[in-house]
Amino acid sequence: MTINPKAALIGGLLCFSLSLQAQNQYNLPEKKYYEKATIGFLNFQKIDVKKLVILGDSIQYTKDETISRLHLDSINYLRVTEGTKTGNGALIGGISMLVISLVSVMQVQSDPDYELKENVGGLVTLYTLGGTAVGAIIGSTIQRKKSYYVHATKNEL
Amino acid sequence: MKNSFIILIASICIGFTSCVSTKVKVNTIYQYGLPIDTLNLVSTMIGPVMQPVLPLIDAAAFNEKTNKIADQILDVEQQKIESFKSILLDNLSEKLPATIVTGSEFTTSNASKYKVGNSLGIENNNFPVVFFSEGDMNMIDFGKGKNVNEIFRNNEEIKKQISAFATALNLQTVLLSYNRLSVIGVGMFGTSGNLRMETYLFLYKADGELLMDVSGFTKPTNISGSNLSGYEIQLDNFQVLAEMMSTELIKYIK
Repeated sequence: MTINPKAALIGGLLCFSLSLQAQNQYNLPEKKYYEKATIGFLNFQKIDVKKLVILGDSIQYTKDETISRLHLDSINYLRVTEGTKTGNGALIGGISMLVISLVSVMQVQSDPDYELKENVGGLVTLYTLGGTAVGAIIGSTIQRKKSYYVHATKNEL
Repeated sequence: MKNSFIILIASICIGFTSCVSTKVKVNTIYQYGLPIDTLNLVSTMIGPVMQPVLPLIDAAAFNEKTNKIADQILDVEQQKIESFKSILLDNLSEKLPATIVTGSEFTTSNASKYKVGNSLGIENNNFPVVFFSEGDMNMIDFGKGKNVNEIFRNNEEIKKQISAFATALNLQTVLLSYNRLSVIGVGMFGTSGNLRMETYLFLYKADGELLMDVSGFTKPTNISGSNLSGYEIQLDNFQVLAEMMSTELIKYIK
């Protein structure tokens, strides 16, 4: 059997345009595969699934070792994991330690019984970096989850 | 000694905010008795939960608990949006002398380009949608959906958008109802938080100028943050707010 290259090209373009149309019609994540996800249905029931694949206007997933396929019209939202909160953790840890260090420096400065060390700037930097590192480590253990409401109107104003 | 003083002050503050009862406030430069015969309630919305930023660690710890059940909170809000509209409509119709027209009654082609589905996507990671009731219209850019003042009040852009919308649909007034849950304070290390329900009514003239806004806040409740019931209880207070806000609004409209 021979494949007509023209027909293959037209078929390919048609599939691509249908996929683009589906992407515009539905509010979907950019990534098309997630190891774990939650599917929220229009009747407010939800299920945790594995190996979620987003295919244009439908999804494929594995639940209890069974592979299923669903049209997006029956789905309310897809809740997926998109990275971790490392950045947030680092920011919170760093700022918190900076504030705590500066407040401590000010308290010592205002107390005549105590004297500031010469390398106080270095200590503040060290504590801030320590806070940033600890925050980043804690943040990296927290997954960032995001819900995509499949039928949400896009805010195009 | 110093520490116990700080703890005492913090406890008094938390105690004080918990004791504040449900309140309603009207902001307008106009006097009582505005001659309005039709109020066009074009949208009833539930926006993202307002989450605190400070104190950094305490707020982050509490927000994490809220974010963990964000999908459950959103489910409840989505289920309640239609009842919010009917509660508000019933209260306004009962108390106000004006005729109330809702978004679903606008079916012209001019109206169709403003129609939104049941939700509008916004740039918010944990609460990525604003829910609308059936047939509602939108002309607002919500951004991250955090600052009510920026979204609905002090904004030249919204003035233009409302004006264009009112002109397209030949409306004399535009009434928007925006509702959300708001965490107004958190306990040490985010172990608890004070949650309230916030309801806003924004009434604009045809030229986009804000005629008045009515804001209503419920009495905050102290919640752990990880149980859905705490959020649900506050959402159930909408009936009381709608009633109080309609009563307040009637003083300004004849």
